[in-house]
Amino acid sequence: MKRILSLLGALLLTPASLLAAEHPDLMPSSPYDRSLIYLNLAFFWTALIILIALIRLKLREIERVQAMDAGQEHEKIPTLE
Amino acid sequence: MNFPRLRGWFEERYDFTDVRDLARKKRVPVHGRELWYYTGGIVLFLFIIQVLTGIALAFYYVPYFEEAHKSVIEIVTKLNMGWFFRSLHHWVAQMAIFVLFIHVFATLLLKSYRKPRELLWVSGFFLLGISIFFGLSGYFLPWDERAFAAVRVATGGAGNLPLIGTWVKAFLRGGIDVTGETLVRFYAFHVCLLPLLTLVILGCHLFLVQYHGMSVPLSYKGKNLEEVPFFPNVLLRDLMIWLVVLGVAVTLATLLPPEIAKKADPLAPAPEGVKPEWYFLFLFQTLKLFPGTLLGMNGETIAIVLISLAILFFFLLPFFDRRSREGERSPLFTAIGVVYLIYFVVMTLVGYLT
Repeated sequence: MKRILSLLGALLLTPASLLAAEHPDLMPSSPYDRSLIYLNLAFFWTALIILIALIRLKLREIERVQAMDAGQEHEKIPTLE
Repeated sequence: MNFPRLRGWFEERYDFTDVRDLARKKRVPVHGRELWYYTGGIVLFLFIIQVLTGIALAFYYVPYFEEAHKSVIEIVTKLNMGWFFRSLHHWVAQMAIFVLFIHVFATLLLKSYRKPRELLWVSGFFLLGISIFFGLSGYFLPWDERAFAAVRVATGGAGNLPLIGTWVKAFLRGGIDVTGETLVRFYAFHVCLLPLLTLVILGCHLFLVQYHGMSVPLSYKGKNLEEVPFFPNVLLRDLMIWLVVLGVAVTLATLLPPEIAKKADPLAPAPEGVKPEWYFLFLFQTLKLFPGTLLGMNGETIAIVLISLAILFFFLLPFFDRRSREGERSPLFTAIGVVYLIYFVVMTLVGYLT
């Protein structure tokens, strides 16, 4: 019985392993792993959007200060008066 | 985050005044076409990702024909995040070449190559060639049947060049046919020769960008354009675009990991319907247009010669375009640029869809 079972097992496993070698999984295939990957992708995009929003705020602040500086420099130009 | 002690340590030993002045004085003109100017920065950013992911993959890839395919499968199936690094490397390569083409055609149509920036065009053209060869050599590394057939066709095509063809083919293949020798050679090109050439030429390209400053399109010439400092204004804008590009690359890498075809068998016939990478499709389609024999000569040789002449003309465009050199509009060269662009897009689409 053991022999028959092991033979059956070998018959079933060999084509499966051969198929696996020809068409390997290109990414983790279990539903749990996949869901984790998609969740991480969503977190990644959220972090990117927050980072972009922060950089945009920083850039606006820099441009505001630069505009103020430019105005002040303009005022500092010595005149004949 | 200023690290004053570390800064003091360096400033005691080195004089950074010139670098600081350069950073402070570098200004970029603001105009309606400035969006195209970000493409160069995007390519640089993508190149940095390629270096990092490429180093990670090189730790596990085995450049030997009996092991190469297996090692790629092991990277994808056994290594933690291996599938992601491989997929990211693949997609970033595609995006880098795509953005590089946009950068080249934007430079061409905005006439940014005009005097005194001819050498910028020349160095950029070499970088495009190197990137395409990066693509071809990287495509071959998994040693699968599609890559094997594509490299056989590509190196065979190079062999049709008159005079130097045989030598080029033998140099690329490392022998008469595509073999394990070719794999070792392509690996050496991919991880040693091409990165080294890229660093040198990229260094020259960036130096020339600094030296000449940003070009202003001819339509804006003579207008009093507003200028913004590169540090930090333009750099922060670059950073925002890079983050979006990174997001797109990571999304593509996650959702569409590249397939691994069957292991190459040098004795087996080429698989049916095999196509080269998308950036070779226009060449592939052009070759298809020519018959086997034309005027008693080999049709493929004639096609390769004509394609080489067209590429040579494209490369020398800045030296032919006299009007742009003198600061005048040159509609003829705009039309030539548009023809090249349309031909490239149409032939790529035809090659992809048929």
